[in-house]
Amino acid sequence: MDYAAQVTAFLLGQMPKLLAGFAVTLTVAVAAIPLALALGVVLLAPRLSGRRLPSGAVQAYIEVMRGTPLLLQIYLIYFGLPLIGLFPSEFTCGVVGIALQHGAFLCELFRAAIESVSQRQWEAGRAIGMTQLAVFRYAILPQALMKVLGPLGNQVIVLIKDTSLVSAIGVMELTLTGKMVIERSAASFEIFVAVALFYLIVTAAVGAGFRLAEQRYAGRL
Amino acid sequence: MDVLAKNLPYLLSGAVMTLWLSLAVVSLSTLLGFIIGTLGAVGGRTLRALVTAYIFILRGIPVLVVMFLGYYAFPAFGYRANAYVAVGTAQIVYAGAFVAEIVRSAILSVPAGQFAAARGLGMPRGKILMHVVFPQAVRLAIPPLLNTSLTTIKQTSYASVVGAWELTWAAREVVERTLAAFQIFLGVMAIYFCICYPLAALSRWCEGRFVVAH
Amino acid sequence: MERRDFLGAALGGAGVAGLALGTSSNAAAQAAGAGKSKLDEVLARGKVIVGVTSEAPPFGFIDDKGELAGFDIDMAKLVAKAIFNDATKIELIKQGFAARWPNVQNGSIDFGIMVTTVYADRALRVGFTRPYIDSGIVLVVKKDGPIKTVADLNKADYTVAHLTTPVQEERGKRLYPNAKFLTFDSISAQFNAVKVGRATAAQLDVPVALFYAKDNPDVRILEEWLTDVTGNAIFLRGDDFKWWLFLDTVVGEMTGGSLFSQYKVLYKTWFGVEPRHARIAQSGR
Repeated sequence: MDYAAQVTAFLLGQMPKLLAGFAVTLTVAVAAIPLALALGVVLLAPRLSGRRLPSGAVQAYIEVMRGTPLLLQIYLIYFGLPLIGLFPSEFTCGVVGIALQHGAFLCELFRAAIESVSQRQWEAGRAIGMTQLAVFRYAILPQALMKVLGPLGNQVIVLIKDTSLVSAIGVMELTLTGKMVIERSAASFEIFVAVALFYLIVTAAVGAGFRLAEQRYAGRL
Repeated sequence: MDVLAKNLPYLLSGAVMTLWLSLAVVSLSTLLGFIIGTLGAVGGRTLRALVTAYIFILRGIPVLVVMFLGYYAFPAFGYRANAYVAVGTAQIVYAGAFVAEIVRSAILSVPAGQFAAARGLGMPRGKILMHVVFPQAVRLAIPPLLNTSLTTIKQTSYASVVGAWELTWAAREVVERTLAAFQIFLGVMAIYFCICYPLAALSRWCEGRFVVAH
Repeated sequence: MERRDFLGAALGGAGVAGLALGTSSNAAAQAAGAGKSKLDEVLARGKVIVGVTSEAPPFGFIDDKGELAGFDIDMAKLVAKAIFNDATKIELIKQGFAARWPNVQNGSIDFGIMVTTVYADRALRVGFTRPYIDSGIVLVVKKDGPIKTVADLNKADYTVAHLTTPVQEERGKRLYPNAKFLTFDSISAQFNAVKVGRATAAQLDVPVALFYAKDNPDVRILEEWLTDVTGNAIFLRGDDFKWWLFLDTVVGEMTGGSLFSQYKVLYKTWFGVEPRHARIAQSGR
């Protein structure tokens, strides 16, 4: 078992670097999530409006985000913007790329949740004289929020995993740190097992957190 | 625009590689996921626990990391595999977990009464699975399975980060030589869109047809 | 119930056993690999598998026709010719810089030739032949920019493009710690960062920098080198003496022996000047 002892000692030695990379991963996620949420909400109004042009435009945007890989979108932003004179940092490019894609998915997610609240709720609210806004605020929104928590939790987990892609443009997050540590070591596989464990811990924690929120919120409804 | 046109043959050969990869990964991961998902739904306690662990672990790790693991796993265990086999296997294992989860929950959503009724009629278990449970489960599973396949095809693009040459790597090679980032990347996005859109549209159509209340 | 539980336990046990076996076989495989030489394997196989880069002109890149081309590519074909008397008995594998050492260590490639400088710490992990071309690391900057010496770069508002190799980051921390570092996984991406203005400077191999400067009049190379004259070499698995001896002999003949005429033609094609003869130079003529 000398091999196991060697590997453990080696991994512990690399821990500071891996932890630093992990911190960057979390920073990217924490920066991208609010942006994606905001974009999802902003896209919601035109998408839900009955009018063809705004709804169609948002739909087209969502289809493009759905049909092309996130990596390409990130490359486009990172390698393209300097050609028009903008030089955002690789961190910014990565966060923006992630937010643009996940904002589209979140819009769809919110739409599905809102539309799944029974039509009758709208009618009932209007029937007793509430304004459309009031119906939305007091009847539809709470129920939609309830339905959204599950899928939202999943989407956040996907977002956290997607932060690994910004390693391709040089953001020194966990995956790129792992790649660089390997250059100087022989234990390539073991390093990535450690990297995988880091991700597993954070996604499990986020998943559990959302499930807890779901239960608490259900209790309060 | 002519930069894109001049390099189109090279990019299209990259697209062919992407198509091959996607075909292999989607078909094999669907097969793997079906087997594992079924085992996870009808198997014994240990089997179900193993399947749950497999799904939980693979879904909690980024696909890029799984690809790296696959790339370095083969040599770590003393085998030599070319980049495509390594990355493809990793993706199959990864996507298989998602398919397994879909199949498992689809089978479990078939009402228990069906199973009991079929047993009451004296049908052997295997036949129940094939003639009663699967047809209904498959209808439930198709929309999310189409979605998963769509995601898997897009994820073949990440193989370029690990070191397997396909459309995205080809795009970067051309951009690095010509510096025409907008033209090439937008053009390649269009190629991916052409590959993915039929599946995305089919998935939307299926969602419309098989609306199921959960 | 019992049968299905047993199946589950069996699968689980098989998985754990496989993992344990695999981990221990890692050591076994490396020991077993040392017995047989790559040279025998290559001769038996009938072709040689070589790791190259497609992102570092003029050593390895994709040309307008979409084909892999470059000085390193041509050198690899010369080696194939030396082994089989047939330059087509070769398979070129494109790989990223981060995958160099693992790929040669696990045997997926027989040797690698991709703008790789010889450093002592790398020699701990892989074997090197003698160098096939001189190199060194320089900085490229914009021609009309403010940077004239390496010390000029040591300010916080400057950015330097590095490759993912740790040695570049260490050099940067030593020579210009105040500047910001950008990390890329390909040499062409590094250069382009300077060209479009995303980075103030980039660390490049001398021959690569010369190639880029030739076609891009808006960048220039700093006179002050970051290193001494170094050598780029073929790398291979460290514990394979027979294979190393053969490859090193071939490189020796190319740079200063019976194969020099072929090497000279290649060198002139890619770099425009004639190479110096390794042995004639040493004898002082």
